[in-house]
Amino acid sequence: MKWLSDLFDSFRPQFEKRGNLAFLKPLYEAIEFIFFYPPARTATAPHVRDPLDIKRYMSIVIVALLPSICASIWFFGPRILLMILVSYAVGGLVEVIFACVRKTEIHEGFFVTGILFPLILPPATPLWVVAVGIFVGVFFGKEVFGGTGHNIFNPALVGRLFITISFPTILTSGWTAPGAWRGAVDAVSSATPMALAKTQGVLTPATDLLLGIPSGSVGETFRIGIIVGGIFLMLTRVSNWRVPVSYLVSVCVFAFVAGLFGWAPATAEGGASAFSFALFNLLGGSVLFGAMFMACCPVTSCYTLPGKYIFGIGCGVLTVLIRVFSGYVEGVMFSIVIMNSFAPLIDHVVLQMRYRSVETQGN
Amino acid sequence: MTFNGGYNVMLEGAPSPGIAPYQKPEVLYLPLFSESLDFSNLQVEHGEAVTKGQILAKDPINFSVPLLAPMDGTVNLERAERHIALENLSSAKEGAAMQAEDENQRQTLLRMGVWSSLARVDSGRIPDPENTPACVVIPVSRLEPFFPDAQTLLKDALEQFGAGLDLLHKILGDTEVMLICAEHDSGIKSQLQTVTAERSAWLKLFEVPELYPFDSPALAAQLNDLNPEKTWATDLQAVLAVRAAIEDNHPFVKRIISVSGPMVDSPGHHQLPIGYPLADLGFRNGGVPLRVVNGGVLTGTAVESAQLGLDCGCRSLNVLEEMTKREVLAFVQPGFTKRSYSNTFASFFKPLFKEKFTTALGGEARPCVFCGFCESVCPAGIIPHLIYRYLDHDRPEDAYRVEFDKCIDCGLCSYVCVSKINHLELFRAERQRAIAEAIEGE
Repeated sequence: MKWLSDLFDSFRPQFEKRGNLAFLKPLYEAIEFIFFYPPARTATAPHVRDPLDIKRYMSIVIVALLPSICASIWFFGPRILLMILVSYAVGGLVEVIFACVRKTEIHEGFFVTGILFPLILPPATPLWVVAVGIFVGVFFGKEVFGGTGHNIFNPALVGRLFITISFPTILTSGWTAPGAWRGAVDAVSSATPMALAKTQGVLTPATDLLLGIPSGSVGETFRIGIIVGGIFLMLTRVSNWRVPVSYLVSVCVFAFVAGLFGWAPATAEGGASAFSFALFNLLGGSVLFGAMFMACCPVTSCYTLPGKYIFGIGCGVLTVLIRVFSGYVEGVMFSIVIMNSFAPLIDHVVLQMRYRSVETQGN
Repeated sequence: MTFNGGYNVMLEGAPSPGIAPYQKPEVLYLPLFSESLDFSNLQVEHGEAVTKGQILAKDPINFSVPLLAPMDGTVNLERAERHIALENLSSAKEGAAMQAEDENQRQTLLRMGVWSSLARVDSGRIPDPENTPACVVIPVSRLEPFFPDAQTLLKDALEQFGAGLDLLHKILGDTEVMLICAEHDSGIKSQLQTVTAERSAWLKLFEVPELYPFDSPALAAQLNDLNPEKTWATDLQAVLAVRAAIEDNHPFVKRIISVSGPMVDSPGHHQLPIGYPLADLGFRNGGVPLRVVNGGVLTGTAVESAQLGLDCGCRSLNVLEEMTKREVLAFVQPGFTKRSYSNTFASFFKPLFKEKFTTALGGEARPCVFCGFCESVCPAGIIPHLIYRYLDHDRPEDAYRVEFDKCIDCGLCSYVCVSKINHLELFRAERQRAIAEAIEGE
C-alpha cells in the first residue's frame, strides 16, 4: 500500500491552505481517511480506546442490509444498482458541498442514508425521482439542521415523504412484481399486499411475505433477510433492541385489537381472524424494514431508555391506525416521521420525571 | 444490590505476583509535584545533608503534607528543574527511625507521609486532619488495568494489615471501615474474612462483581448510601504504612508499585523509594515511542518527559506504545485481534483474550450519534452524552440537575465512545472548576 500512500502524499499539497484545490479539502480528506486512518492518538485519560469508530459503526448497517440488497437485485434486476448509484452520487454531492462550505469533515452518516433511501422506493421509480428525493432528504432532512447527529427526522424518510407527496402517480403505479425482469412471473406489475388487503380484503399468506413473493418497495420484500439483518444489528449493539421490539410487538397487539373490534378488512370467508390480521400487519408492508432499520436510528429516535419504548409503541399504534382508518394503505413512513418529531418532547418528559425527585431534594 | 454497566478492558501485560528485585539507584529525583500535590514550600537548602524521613518540602495548600527524604543523602536543587535530586545515597541504619514526639497521632501520620494517601470521596482531595470521616473505604481488589495485586501486597502482611485497620479506625475517631473485594478473588476474600470476623462491629466487607469500575470507593459510597462528604478513601498500602508509622516509626517513603502494560518485558511489582529514576526502570528504550501512564490506563495521567523520578502519589506505571502507524482500511478489517464493547469485530467469536492496546484513538472525532453505549456502560446510572452536551454548551446547572455529581470518574464513557468524544476530560475540568469555586467561597 506504499504506492497509494505516496500517491496521497503527492496530491495533498494541492488541497492544503494555499493549494489550488483548497476548497475541496474535506473531499480529499474523506477519501484519504477511508484508505489510511489519521494516526490520531489519545491525549489524556482514558489512554486506550475501544477500536469501534463511526466508519465501522455505519458500515455495519450496510452489512446488515446486504441480504435485502442482494434479494432486491435478484427480484428487480440490475436497475436497483443504478438507483443505489444515483442515490449515493446525488446525496454525496450535497454532503460534499455542505462540508466544503462549512469547512468541516464529511460525516459518515451519509453512507447509511444513501443506501436506505433507494431501498424504500418502489422498484420502478425513475432515476430522476431518486435523485430529487435523496437531494431533498439530505438537504432538508439533515444538512439544514447541522448535519449528522443534529437532524430531527430520518433523512431517507424525509426524501421518501417528499416524493410520495410530490409525485403520487409515479409512486403508486410503479409496483413491479418480483422476478418480472427475468421473466420469472407473468405479470409485470401487481398490487402490493397492503393495497390488496385494503381494497379487496385479501390477506397475503405469511410464507409468501417472508420469501418476498408479493410486490413491494425495493428492500422490503425479502422479509427473512430483513429479520436476519435486524437481529444482526441488535446483536452487534449497533441498533438498540428496544425500539424495534416495542414497535413490532405493539403493531401485533394493536392489529389484534383492531381485528377483535372487527376493523380488519372482510375476506371472502367473512372476516379475517384477529390473529391472522395481527400476523399480516407484522409481516406485510414495510413494518419490518421500518422497525429494524429506520425507527431505531439512534439520532432521530429517543435516547432515554423509557423513551425508546414509548417511541416504538407510538410508531406501532400510528402504523395500525393509519393502515386501518386512513386513505393510505401503508403507515410506516408517516408514523416514524411523526414520532421523530415527538422524540425530543418524549425525552424531555422522561428526563423531567426521572429527575424531578432530585430537584425536590435540592430545594 | 444491583450493579449497572461496567466493562473490563482486557489489556495485555498484567503484573505477575511477587516482588521483583530492582537496581539500586545512584540518584533519586523527587518531583516537587504529583497529580494532586504541589510541594512549593522548600524546607532544605542546596547541598544540605538529609536523613531518611526528613521533610524536604511541604504543600502549603494541602494541610502542609510533606515530601520526605526516602534515604540519607545530599540535596541537589540544581540538577533538575522542579525536582529535588538526592545524591550520595546511603541506606539509613535500622533503628535510626524517626523519634515520635509527643503529638497527636494524626499529626504523626501527616509527618510520616501517610496522610497524603487519604482522599475525600466527593472531591478526591486530601481531607482536613481536623475532620473525622463517617466511613473509610479501601479497595482491596483493583480492577482497572493495572494496579498492584492485592495478593502480592498482603503476602505475609495480613496481621499487619489488621493492626493497621485497628489503628486507622481509632485514629480517625472510631470511623467505620469498608473493604471492597471482588467476588471472584476467593483467595483474598477468605483472608479478608478472617480480618473482618474479629472486627465486625466497624469493619465491613463489600463484595463486588469482577468488573471495572466496581472497585471504586465513590461507587461503593453511592451503593451503600454513605454520605460522600463524610466518606474517605485510601488504599491497602497506606493501611500497612499507618501501622509502620505508628508502631515502628517508619516514614512512608517506599512503595510497592506495579510496572506493567503491553510494552513491559516482564511486568511485575517492585518496592521502590519515592524519586526512583524512571530511566532506571528500563522501558524507555525499544525503538518505538512509548507512553508511560502513572496509574491505570483508563484514569491515570501520562508521565511527562520532564518528570525524572517516581512521584509520591504513584501506585503503578503502565506502558503503552504510542500509535504512529496509519491503519489501512481499518474499518473494513474483520478484526480478529480487536475486541470491542459492541460485537462488531470478528473477535466476538473468539474466547476472551488479552489485547495489545496502543494509544490509538481508533477513529476520527465526530458529533455524538446517540448510540447509547456510554449510558449502558456507566456504572453510576447517569447519561454521559447528555451531561457532556450540557457542559459543552456551558450549562453546568443543567448537568448537575441530571446528576452529574454521581459521576465517579471511571472513564468508561470515553472508552466506548463511537464518536471518540472525551467525556472524562470535560467532566474533570468541570469538577476542578467547581472545587476551585468552592475553595474560593470558603
